[in-house]
Amino acid sequence: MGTSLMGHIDADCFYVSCERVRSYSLRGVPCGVLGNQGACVIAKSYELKAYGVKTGHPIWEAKKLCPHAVFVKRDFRWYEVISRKLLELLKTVSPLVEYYSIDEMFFDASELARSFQLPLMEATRALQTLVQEQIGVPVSIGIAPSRTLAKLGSDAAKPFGVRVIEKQCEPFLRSQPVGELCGVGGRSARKLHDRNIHTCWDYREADRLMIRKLLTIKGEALWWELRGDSVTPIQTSRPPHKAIARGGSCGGKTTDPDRIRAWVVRNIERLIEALDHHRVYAGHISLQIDANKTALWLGRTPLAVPSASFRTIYDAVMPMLEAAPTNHPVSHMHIIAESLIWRNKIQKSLFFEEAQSPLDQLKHDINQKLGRFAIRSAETLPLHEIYHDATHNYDICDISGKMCF
Amino acid sequence: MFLMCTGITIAWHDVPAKLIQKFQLEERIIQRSETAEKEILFLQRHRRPLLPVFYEGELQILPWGNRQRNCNAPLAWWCEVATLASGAWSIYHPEPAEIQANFGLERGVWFQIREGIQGTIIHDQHEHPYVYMLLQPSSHYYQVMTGYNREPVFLGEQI
Repeated sequence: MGTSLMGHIDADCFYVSCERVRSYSLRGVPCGVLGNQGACVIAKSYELKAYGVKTGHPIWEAKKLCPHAVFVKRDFRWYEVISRKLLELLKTVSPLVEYYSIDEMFFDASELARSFQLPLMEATRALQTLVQEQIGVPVSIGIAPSRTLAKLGSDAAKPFGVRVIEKQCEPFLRSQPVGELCGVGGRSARKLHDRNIHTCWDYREADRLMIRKLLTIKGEALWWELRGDSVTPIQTSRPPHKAIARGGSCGGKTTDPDRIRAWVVRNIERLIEALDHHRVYAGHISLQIDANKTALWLGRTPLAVPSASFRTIYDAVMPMLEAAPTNHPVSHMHIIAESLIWRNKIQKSLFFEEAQSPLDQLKHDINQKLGRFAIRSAETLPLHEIYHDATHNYDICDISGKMCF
Repeated sequence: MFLMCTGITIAWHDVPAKLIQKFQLEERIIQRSETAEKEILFLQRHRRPLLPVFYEGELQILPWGNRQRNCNAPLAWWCEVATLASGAWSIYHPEPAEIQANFGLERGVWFQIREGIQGTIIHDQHEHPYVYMLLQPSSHYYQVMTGYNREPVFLGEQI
């Protein structure tokens, strides 16, 4: 279905705003939300940003920059509650909503004015007020003929602003550096700068074929979108995954083989949960081990038959772990399931283990009933401090249905 | 060397005016930004260390631990929860109390406290009450966040 107007709604400092919904005392306070290990700032309020604290700063640097800042432990389960409330509210005023990320959504804005019985700009402000009143989170909204322009509009309107962009918007595009475009990273921006393309207007006015040659078909799509021609539709459901990964930080660098094995097994169990959720089996399993966030080792193993069995995946991953170099401390790891196949489309076999054993199913059922990791492998015992704290059991990647991370 | 959470704040509007006046708490009022709420600061290093405590059905301001040798309450600021459970302090007849706090301070890091901190109250020979913060080994998260291996026993949450 074609959409004549796209909307982009973006929550302002979303994690902090969610915390402020339930803690009045945080309002106005320079506040940072800390990540999974309690070491890094993953979100900050505008008050904290004013002191120069950036996302990713370690807490020991952040506290020097702003000694009176308050730091909060992340709670992704709560952030998901607020995010889904925002999604549901948006669905009441728009026929098409895309759950882009936990704090950003695209929506069909063509009915917005009629829905609020107001001119478009006032209707957009009314939506912003509605979100603030009903959910308690400040948002910025951009309305434009294409999603790229809508996102540029909401980004430029932050914090707590609205912007309606017409198809002819030369002054606005001239004010926006090309690096602000979603999809233009540092390398692409450098390529564009080399060709004297510095602003979004320069991009729009550039030769289409040159852009296509430089930044592939994705770059060309942006070129069309900047001209107000919508080429990327709103997607109301997430396309099937090409790969599913679970992993992340190992809670500090370690060379302890028991802890490394424990992290591997924890991530296998998390991966199997994700495969269960998406109703798929894995055809290939990869293990990536990082030292100081640099890939140290990457192994890839095909499975004899597509599987989501703990035993099968464990047997595939452990030889890869044994082969990995042991002389570097491990900081991060990821286990990646690829060649995914829907569970109802699998070829049955007489000669291999079932894709999931009765034991896997029993473990799944008990954990569904009693809580995540109520039953887990004994090899995860070295991570007692992680399992002791239930808030470690829910991560941003556990929030399903989003288009991107 | 301090061995514990070294300060807390409580929202200014949560403290009755008569307590603010009685304990001269105006001089402890801070505001983290122009739009933030006023808070009252309770630091261990204050000349007269105090804590806001919900005790006997009302908010009271009580001395934070004891540092007077002529008083028979324990010379400490805090009590390990394991020590209390072992009965080592039973001779002092400790009573449970809830320390009211919005934010806590540990090694220069301010963190949020959702409901409060568990404390224990002990009376001296003159029946004057003293409040001690309960401590426990810190979680991995708290230890990374603050760099310290002991944390208060929080009410209704674990950091």
